[in-house]
Amino acid sequence: MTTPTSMQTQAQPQPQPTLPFSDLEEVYEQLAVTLDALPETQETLFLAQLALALAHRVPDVAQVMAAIREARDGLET
Amino acid sequence: MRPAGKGELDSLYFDYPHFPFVRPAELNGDQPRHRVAIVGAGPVGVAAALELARQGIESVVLDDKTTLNDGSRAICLSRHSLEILQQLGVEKPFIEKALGWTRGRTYFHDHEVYRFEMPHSDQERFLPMYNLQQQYIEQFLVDAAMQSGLIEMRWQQTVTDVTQSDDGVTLSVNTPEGDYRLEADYLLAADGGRSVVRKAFDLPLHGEAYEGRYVIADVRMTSDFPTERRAFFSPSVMPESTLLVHKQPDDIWRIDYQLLPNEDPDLAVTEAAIRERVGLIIEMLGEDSDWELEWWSLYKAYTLALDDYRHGRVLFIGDSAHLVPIFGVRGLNNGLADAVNAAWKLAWVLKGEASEKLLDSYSPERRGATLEVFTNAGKSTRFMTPPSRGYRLMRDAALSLALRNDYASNFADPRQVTPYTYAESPVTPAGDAGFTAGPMPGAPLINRRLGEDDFLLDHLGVGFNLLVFSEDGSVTPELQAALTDLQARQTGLDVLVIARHPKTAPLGTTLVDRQGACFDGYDAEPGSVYLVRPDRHVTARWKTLDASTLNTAFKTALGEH
Ligand SMILES: Cc1cc2nc3c(=O)[nH]c(=O)nc-3n(C[C@H](O)[C@H](O)[C@H](O)COP(=O)(O)OP(=O)(O)OC[C@H]3O[C@@H](n4cnc5c(N)ncnc54)[C@H](O)[C@@H]3O)c2cc1C
Repeated sequence: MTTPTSMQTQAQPQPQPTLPFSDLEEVYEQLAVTLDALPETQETLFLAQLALALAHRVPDVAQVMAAIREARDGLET
Repeated sequence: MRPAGKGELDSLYFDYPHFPFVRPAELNGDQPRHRVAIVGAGPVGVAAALELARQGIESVVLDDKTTLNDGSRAICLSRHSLEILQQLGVEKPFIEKALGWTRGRTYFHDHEVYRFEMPHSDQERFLPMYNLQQQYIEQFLVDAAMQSGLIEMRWQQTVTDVTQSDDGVTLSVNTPEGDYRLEADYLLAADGGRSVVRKAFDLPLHGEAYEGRYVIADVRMTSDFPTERRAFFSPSVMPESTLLVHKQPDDIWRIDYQLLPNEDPDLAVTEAAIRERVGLIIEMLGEDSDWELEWWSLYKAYTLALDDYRHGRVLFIGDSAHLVPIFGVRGLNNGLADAVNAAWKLAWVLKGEASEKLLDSYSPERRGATLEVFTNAGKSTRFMTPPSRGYRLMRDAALSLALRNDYASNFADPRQVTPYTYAESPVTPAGDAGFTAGPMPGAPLINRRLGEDDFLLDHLGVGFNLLVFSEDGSVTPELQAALTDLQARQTGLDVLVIARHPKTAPLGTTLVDRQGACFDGYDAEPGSVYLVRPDRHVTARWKTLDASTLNTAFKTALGEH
């Protein structure tokens, strides 16, 4: 049994399975179409809701926090 | 278009040839019956004439111009196209003049976010991509056509109408010395996007015109930047736009930039507007040498195609059959594949080695290729020129993430042209048992290195090829008997024995595959066989040949099912 403490100190967490790129492309298209169907003023609210809904489906909070940092860092381009 | 004071053919680097009008036999009272007439001496029409000639069939090519086309237009030739040019025996001048490349970079807000490397290995003779102005492409093809005793080039002759009957086609031709009628068994319509042949038969194109008009501009400038494809999304000089930069031979640089939906294209292509925009872009690229404006044009992204590329005795090849967006460089590369596909089939029908049914496979195969292009081109066009707020937001999100995350950089992949596999074709037999790698039925052959400057594709014969894998060059008596039988009935079949340690050479040509590169690449064992069409696509393959099915596969390949 791994304790929560030992998990945090693991240098290299096990790579999680990720979505295949072709599925990611489908998500991209579906999001584009959904965004287009919304009034621009509701865009941000929609995306924030989506972030929570997706986070709810991820059983590992560290993954969610990493995704938040990833998106934050992306703004620096 | 060219700068003020310059003629249409006043190029900084290219000497335009002048093709004189030569009075054709028909104007002197003769009415020869031609086997194949080709309308259009663009790259696709001339490539088709060269393939017909290679198969031993005469053709007459008509073009309304006095010279080659006026600008650099389609500048990227794929590896697959170079292999086609090698098949036509004309690849040398292309290799000498063109700039080969393997890499590209993507920028977002002036930061580099992604580098891509195209698949390449020392098993390949040709690089993944070559940049060369279309005038050179046309010139090298036309030079070869003029040398051929089987091709008659008719310049300054405009086809104004076409009709067909059960046994031939009739063209109405207008020339500087009067009009005439030309009779031929078959017609290849290679007359480009505004095809008169298409109009003569009232055949509509279907599809969509995508958002996005591009200015394509050539400048002459010296720069050390290597030959790579550079794509800039939201560059600071044009934050709403996308731009592409390519190097061409003769110190010519291609700058393509997107016009915004609210920009007036007529104003955008004035010389003053071009100079201003191009000047800013060159500054952004960090180039500080002087530059000269060479040529520019406006290009729109379309995905349009004919419903059927065959109309009786007329086959449509190249832009007359389909118009595709410029991203991914598919227009010309697909046109060349159309040309050789149509030409070998027509040649085999005219030589009596196949029935007309073989021609039925042309449209499914090449229109299939176009539809695949449309799928990819739709995606890349929506990425390059997002049609709406939602697509723009998603595009910018992917690019922002791409800097630090590989999963997102795949979105920026330029989805360059890849050769199409004729898996669903009526002339590709179903079934492919036993193989886990190598080109499947319908796919083009892959190249393999046999030695220094020596590759598998260098050795193919003109017609069908049978690749027979063998340990020592010998084959089983059953296979030997089947081959002898097939070759006796079928001319135009070459046997290439690929042997790791050849001792005997009982039939055909023996190629030595000491490193086993062919065996590996084709997932072959001694006794494995590939049947390959004249256009180098695989018809069928056998892990261990069952000689009785070889005949059936050959019949299917020729349209007899
Ligand atoms: C302005 C412009 C810019 C382009 N830029 C790019 C680019 O940046 N990248 C890219 O990939 N592709 C580009 N293309 C497309 C590319 O040039 C074509 O895909 C390619 O030329 C297709 O070759 P083709 O032989 O089918 O047709 P074409 O090259 O159009 O050749 C058709 C030939 O038929 C002749 N012809 C037409 N009608 C008749 C007639 N009635 N009688 C006799 N002769 C006739 C014409 O004079 C011409 O020589 C561009 C095209 C244009 C027009």
